[in-house]
Amino acid sequence: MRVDESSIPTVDFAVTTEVDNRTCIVSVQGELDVYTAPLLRERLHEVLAQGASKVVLDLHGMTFIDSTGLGVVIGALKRLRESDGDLVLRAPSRSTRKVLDITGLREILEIID
Amino acid sequence: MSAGVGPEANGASADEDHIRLTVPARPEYVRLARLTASSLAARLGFTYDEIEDLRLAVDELCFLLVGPGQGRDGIVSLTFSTPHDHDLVGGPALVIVGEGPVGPQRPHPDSHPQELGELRELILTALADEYTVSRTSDTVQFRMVTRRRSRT
Repeated sequence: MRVDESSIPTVDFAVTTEVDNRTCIVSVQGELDVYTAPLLRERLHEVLAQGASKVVLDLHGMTFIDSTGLGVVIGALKRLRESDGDLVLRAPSRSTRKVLDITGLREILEIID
Repeated sequence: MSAGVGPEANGASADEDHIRLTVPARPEYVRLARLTASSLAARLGFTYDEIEDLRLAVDELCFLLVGPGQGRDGIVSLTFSTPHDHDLVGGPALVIVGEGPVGPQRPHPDSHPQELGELRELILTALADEYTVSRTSDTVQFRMVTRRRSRT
């Protein structure tokens, strides 16, 4: 298993990836917004380019998400499903679940606890 | 970045407190708008869930003023008002007015801009009690009203 971490220290934002075979756990810490979303996008592009077919997006430590962050998640989901892969969300907060409900994305995204 | 608290700082009416925040039109400063809004909402007695809703709504509107990527040239000006006469706005409320520069249209790296615009509109419709967005040839403006729903 390989573990990598990238962060934006000034805003307490970090993305950690744990790649094990073709499954990748991507953990998000902090607030995912228009400023921090590019870091998550970059890390997801990297793990997809490395051949991951299943991504578990661990949101246990994510304290905020806006439409820009949702766009990153949707972009990765589309790319994975185009190649018969999948992306699931793990442990989103109550407020994140509410945003997923509002936007209808809960219907297309699998959520695990 | 600059900030001021009325009425002394900016000649605001005695009927409401005004807090002004002026920041570069760049994504890293949107967080300050969320922090300011949530701090003021807490003073007004908003619940945790109401503050979470407000943070997201103001974030989505501020996105319209800074755009994705590196942001835009110019500044974003935000005014947070807390009217003293609650009858005027239907209860304890936070009124946020924002203005920023118009930016170039850029393709979004993840999704079609229309998809993201639709997500944003769904969020704002669900979470803001009132909001309007207007554009001129060189500025984008918004006004949002969020009321406290809970009683203290």
